[in-house]
Amino acid sequence: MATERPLLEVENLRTYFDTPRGILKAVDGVSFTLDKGETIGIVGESGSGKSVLVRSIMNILTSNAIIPDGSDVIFDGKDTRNLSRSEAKHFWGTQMAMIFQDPMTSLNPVKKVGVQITESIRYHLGASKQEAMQRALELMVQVGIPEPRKRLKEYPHQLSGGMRQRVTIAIALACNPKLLIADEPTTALDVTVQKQILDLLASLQEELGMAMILITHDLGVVAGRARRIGVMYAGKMVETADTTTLFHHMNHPYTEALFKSIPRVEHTSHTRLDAISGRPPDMVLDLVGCRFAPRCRYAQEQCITTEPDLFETGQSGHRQACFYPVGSTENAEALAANQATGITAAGLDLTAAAVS
Amino acid sequence: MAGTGKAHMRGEEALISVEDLVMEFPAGRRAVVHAVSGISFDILEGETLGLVGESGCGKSTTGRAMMQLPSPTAGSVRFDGVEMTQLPKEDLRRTRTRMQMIFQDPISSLNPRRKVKDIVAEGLSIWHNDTGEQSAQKVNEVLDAVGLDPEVVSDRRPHQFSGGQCQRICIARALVLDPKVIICDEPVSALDVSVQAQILNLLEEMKERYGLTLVFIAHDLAVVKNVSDRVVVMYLGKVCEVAGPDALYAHPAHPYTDVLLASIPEPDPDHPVSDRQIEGELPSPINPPSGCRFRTRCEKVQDLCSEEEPVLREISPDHYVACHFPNEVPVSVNGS
Repeated sequence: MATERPLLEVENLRTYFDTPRGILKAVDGVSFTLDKGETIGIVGESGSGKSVLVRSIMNILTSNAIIPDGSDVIFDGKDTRNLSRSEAKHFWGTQMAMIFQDPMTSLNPVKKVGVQITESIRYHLGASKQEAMQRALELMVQVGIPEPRKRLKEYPHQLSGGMRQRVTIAIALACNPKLLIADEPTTALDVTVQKQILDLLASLQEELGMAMILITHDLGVVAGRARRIGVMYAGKMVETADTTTLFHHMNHPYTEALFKSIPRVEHTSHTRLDAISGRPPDMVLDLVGCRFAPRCRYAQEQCITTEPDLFETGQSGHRQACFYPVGSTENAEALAANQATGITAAGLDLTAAAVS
Repeated sequence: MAGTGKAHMRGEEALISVEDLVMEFPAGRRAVVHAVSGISFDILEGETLGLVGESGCGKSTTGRAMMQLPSPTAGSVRFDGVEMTQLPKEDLRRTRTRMQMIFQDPISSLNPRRKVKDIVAEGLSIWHNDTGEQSAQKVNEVLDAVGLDPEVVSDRRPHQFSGGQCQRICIARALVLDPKVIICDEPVSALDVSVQAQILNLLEEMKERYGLTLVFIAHDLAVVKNVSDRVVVMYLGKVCEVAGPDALYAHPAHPYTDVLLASIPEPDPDHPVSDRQIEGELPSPINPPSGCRFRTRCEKVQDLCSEEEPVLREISPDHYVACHFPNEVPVSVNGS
């Protein structure tokens, strides 16, 4: 597989939005590739641009979106951005499909589940009503819905949250896409149901050999599920590596901070969490230097003036964008210098509690 | 799972004690939703009680019933020696000022058309206890306490804030009347992990600073463990297990607690994804299973489970479980 061309190549993708406040740079130069059958996890906070990134790949942006020249999204050898509307209609569903965070809003409340699943089968594959229903029934069984025949005749409000998400997965899989994009598929669900859905996605992916992009804000969700992980912050990819490497050698301070803010069951209760102080930057502004610098414990003069590029570290495939990577001697020196003065070069007060 | 058991109650010293709480809602055609079916627990002053369970287990209903929103179908809620369910309307209103709530979705629980200072001051303006100046001062104090700059935020409206900041405003609003108890109903479920950590830390700080007693309702056992002094695991309107958070994690006795723990996504790729998964769907609360309510999804189920409802019993000091066949828990010398 290694010599084969990747299924998806994203090269220097930039997605801007024309807003009343100015040009909002939601995604600002992201590159990655995805092989056939592979899963990549994209992790970041709200507003980091991860959803806009996949919407750009899928080509389902709003009309005020601007994609400057030089941004490439090559899927299976074709640039998705050059598709006409009618070409795109055939492309969505059969090549690439997407499931969203809230299954209640992504399903049509006034149409029966069966109709919603068969719609794309009939449109794309030209199946008859009976054939489509038969395929829908198979899909319902495949995604683990009990009493599928009865459920096909029900409306979304009659199903639980987990069942609804299973239905959206069935719809996404209806035409055997090569790539499934799951945009926070379990954020609105209980932990127990989250596990069911993630297990289901993993087994379906293996069965059907699909590639998957799994988007989440929780490093815990991707840890056991994705082969590679990309961490996004403020429209940029700040660290990418395969999952094991990333967790063992977190290089970027943001990845480290994100990891440390997760409450762990192993820790005794009332353990104080290392929250990341502050908020992500306003993306309408012209940002100079490292975008994480104002919230970073290690920030130095260089971080405020110069923007670090994503570069390859010692490990193959491990790339990160930080001048003072975690675990290096530079990093330890930077932290020591900041702790001595009690304040980072970007003005973050290290002595204050992490409130604000 | 038993609800009838009261082995875990700690008697007179509790600030709040809830006994045999039943909450039923009519569902049309004479059907009844058994949202909460006779649960009991108590909370000591200054303690944080975690209520944990899946959607539909009755944890939010329990939280609201403590506030008499609405009053429970049966059972008693005693708060600081006063029986809440019997209080006349006016006294109830007065008592509720000492018990506040924070909800899951911070953005929709704030009125979008009002300024932050008016939202936070509303409780004060209803009770007219202070002059305008005093009340403004109080509002500034609580806003400052939750980490918002009063000068900057006072005249803004909720849409100008992120989810985490809106939750801070909700916490300020809850604090403004100097409550004794705050009931937090999934306060961090709608937030990012990084913001979640900020809010959890803030709640701990506020608890310390204002001497609060907290009821923390959530579905994520890792989050509940972080803030709680005692955890009550609920399933389909019943209590499964009551224990201190560290004991509960180290030795989960109830098969349901076990599954809940196995469902937590571990941020560690070397930690194999557990193959334990809860089977099937939550049974309908209109027609709950006989005996133990978890039996339809339990891997340890026996005949006894459908015939007899298990009662909460102590299996090691301060660790209670309602199961006929609980997991082994190391019993120390004084265990019963």
